[in-house]
Amino acid sequence: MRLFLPFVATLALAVPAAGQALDVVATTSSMGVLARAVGGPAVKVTVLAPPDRDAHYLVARPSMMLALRRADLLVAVGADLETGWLPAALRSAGNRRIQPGQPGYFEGAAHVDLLEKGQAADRSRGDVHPLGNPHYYLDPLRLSAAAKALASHLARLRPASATAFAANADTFAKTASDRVVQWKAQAAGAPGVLLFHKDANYLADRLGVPIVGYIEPVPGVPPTASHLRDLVTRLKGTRGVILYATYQPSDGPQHLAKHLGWPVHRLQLEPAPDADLPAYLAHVERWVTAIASAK
Amino acid sequence: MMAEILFIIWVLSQSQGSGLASLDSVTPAPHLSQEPAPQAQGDDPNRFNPAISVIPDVAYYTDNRDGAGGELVAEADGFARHTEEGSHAHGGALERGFNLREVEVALSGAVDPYFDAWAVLAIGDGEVEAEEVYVQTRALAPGLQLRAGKFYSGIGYLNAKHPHQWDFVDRPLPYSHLLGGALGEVGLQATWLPSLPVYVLVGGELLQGANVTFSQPLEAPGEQGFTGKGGPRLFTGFVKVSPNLGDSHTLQVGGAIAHTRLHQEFAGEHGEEPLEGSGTLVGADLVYQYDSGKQWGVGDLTLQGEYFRRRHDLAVVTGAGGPGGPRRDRTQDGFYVQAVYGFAARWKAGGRFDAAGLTNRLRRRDGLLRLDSVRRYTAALTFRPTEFSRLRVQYTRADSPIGGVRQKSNQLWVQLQISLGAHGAHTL
Repeated sequence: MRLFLPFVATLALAVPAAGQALDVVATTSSMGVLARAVGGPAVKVTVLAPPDRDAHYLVARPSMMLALRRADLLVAVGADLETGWLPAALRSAGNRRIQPGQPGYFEGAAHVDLLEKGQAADRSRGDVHPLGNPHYYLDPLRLSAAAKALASHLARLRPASATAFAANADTFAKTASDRVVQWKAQAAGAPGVLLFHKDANYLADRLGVPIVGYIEPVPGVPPTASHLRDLVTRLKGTRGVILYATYQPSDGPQHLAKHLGWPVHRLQLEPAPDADLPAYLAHVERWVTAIASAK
Repeated sequence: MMAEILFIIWVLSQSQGSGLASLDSVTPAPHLSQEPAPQAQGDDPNRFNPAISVIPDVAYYTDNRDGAGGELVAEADGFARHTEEGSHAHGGALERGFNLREVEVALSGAVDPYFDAWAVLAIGDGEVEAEEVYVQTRALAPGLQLRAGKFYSGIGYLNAKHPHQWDFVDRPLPYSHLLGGALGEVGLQATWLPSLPVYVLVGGELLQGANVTFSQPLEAPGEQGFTGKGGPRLFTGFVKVSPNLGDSHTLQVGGAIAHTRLHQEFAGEHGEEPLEGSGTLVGADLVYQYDSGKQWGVGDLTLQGEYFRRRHDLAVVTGAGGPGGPRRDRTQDGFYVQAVYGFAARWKAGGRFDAAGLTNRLRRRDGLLRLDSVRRYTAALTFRPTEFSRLRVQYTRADSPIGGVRQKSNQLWVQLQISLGAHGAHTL
């Protein structure tokens, strides 16, 4: 064991020089937004998950391992969202600095107030997340909380820029909360949303709009005819809007839209991989507009 | 071996809930000798338990050869094995009807800041086998990893995959016929992922060398005049390259070599000839995956193929003189190609063609033989209700030379695999 100690000591010092941008790997585009908004010019961001895919079901690909291999900081969503592929990719990357517990590992979920925390770890209820619902990134205020935490995290890696990081996080919070005030007004009185999966819960919660149901019978299981029939029976005559992500199949949502007479919107769950704060807010606004469209 | 002992100590320390999270503190902590110390507020003694998954594999099997379908393939000309003088080896053949193929119990966790550990125990046939038990460094130096213990070698693409990661019920012929299933050995592995614009992984292994068909030391070698050679006897090297082709396409190409200093077996018609020598295996593999981006695997496509070529330089063992008799070298190969396509949500259809002995050249007492090859055509249909369960139907048409006569068989499997416990990894 003692043999390894000199190695470890060397690695601890292997933090990039102050002038060089930190190599940050973000698991999803939203986490990329976070890193760019807080890190500013001090970071260079690579996003692993394509924005049009379900981040639950990715495969740990060699290109991910290569990106993680040279990263100074990993910014992950957490709460088991990436559990199928990130631990495997991290193991193969062989980069000590970004292992969980190291200063180079950041997980947003650890710093935000998660919904549905403490669900029973019982897979007869589908692909459940006992740590809480991991899709908090569509709520700008929760992302602001993660931004604050990331600022102090980045400050440990690049102390000279600590003030700039903190200021960036403040700007993030200020901009986001201003927009949320407008959006709340825009969505006030929206009757409800029918989601495909539990992925826009945080935004609906933030706007105070109720979720009236899910197209998946339980998380991770495709809609069945009987479940769709039940939804129609239950929701017939009420008002609302159907929202689903680009990678989710259209037949269920379209079928329900026809039978309920509700508007239906197919939206990307994640912003573009190179999105910055304004692009992220424009992305969230598309969801807000869709939610408000049933008024 | 050392790694296994360390691992066992670690597992014991966890299961006793003593909180001995570090291998450095195997000397009892002071409080253990006194009254049991009160647990910290709400402390759960199971908190440091490893992640556990239990994966039973149950299959219904039948064939049109009175249950001998598997044997007909295993004993193809040039590949029949003799475990000792005069006896044939039968392994892995299923009985007609229901079979509990195995129950895999996988445990994993971080040992300390320096090591991760894995243990995969296979329970089947009334035996528990440590399929893999190893520790791996958690990043020694950037991109460098060391592994010690018993593990599946990094050669080939399928070699290190467990049954629940396969797209078919069984391993393809190059594995079953040239490596006796897979190369799983006790030893050391080093892999290095250099910082290049393209993914290149290079690895090498020092292994004990105990593979039945490639690197087998016979028990009690002295009695037959065999040479006793200490390990490590088996050395491997491999490289995997994966160019970045964007979000939807993944390609990985690999090459491998394995060399053994010692292989001993009984050959000949009835296993009457003791042979000894060395062997070399070279392999190439290619995997391509298309990810459609749709949910539940709709439109996803995987194409893969592997080729292995094995050469044994053997000679007849003569009394106490070691392998001083006539030469008995042989060269054999095998390959498979397969395609698997997600044709509907949660459904996959797969096709595979595999063969062994396209080159099947053996020098025997009666001269140099050029034997025929064994070939199979396989189709499989897999339904995955969730990530944690899988139902599969597989049909195989096999055509195998037995004593120069081509023997055909049809085999059918219905397989159920489930995964209970920790979330598995999605790896290429």
